Amino acid sequence: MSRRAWMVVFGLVLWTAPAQSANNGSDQTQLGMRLFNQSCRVCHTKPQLSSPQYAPALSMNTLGGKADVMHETIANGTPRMPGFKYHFKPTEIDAIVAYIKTIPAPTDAPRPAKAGSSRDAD
Amino acid sequence: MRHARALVLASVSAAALLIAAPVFADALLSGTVKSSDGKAMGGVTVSAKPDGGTITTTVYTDEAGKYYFPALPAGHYRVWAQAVSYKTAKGAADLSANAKQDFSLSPMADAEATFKQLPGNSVLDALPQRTPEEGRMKRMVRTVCTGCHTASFPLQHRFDEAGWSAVIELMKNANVYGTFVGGDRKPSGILDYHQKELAAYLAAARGPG
Repeated sequence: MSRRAWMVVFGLVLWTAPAQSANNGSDQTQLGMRLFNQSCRVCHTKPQLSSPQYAPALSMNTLGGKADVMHETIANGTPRMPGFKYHFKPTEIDAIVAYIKTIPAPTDAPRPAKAGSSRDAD
Repeated sequence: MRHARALVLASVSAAALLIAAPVFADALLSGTVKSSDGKAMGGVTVSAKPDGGTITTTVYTDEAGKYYFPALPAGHYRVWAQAVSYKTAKGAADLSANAKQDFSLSPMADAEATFKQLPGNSVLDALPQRTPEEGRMKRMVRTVCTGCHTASFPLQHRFDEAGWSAVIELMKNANVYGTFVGGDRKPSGILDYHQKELAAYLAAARGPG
């Protein structure tokens, strides 16, 4: 095989390796987005554009951006939020965390509804 | 004479263009749905959605387990068959011409996954009413919850008593649009009064156990 052919093969390997990794991550975040839409967004997004939001908007910076804290909060809940450990498998909670970690931090985060605690991610 | 020759040339060219133009005829998709033991399954929903499209077309199988889609535009489709208590079977069809896609459905082994397939009325029916108190709580779920959403939406989840109480805390302060209005008005009296009892009932029915 000529040197040029080897360079093409080497280039293809370099090009496909990160693409494969990104695809795996995408599968997890896709699952996380689906589960988020099914169970989380009812409180963590606005039901209507003009209405107040019950729970804080979530982003990669929520709970200090710490994945383990996000996982624990989703699993065990807070005084205002049910724990999902009887509903989601740990891998599904990981997928939700992975999805939240893809959400950019809002520049002007909507405030949670006035009643309730001031915790970061109830 | 020159005009006549030009007219003939234009006509021939137009005819040639018409003949050469690709023909996008709609294609028919059909097939058969059987259970994994080979029996025909009637009443199964079969759905098709084109790649990159947003419209899903769904039909039912007949008593012989056969389904027929109306003519669909050519393209590559994801096709899937669903029936309660069976795993979803997935396939694909290229509708450049008429196509057949048969399915074999396997029974669901996971009771919880089957529960999540149920429509709202079946989920409501599944709530326990072994005692008068349970019957009262079941009626409350139907009366208070299903006026705004199907019972299968909240009851897809499993929460402990504290978790269901947190859900009821939100719901008793939400208006019919699902907007939290706590502080602007009194909470729902019926939910406020029965919050603890209802949370315990839901935790027993859809809790850790």
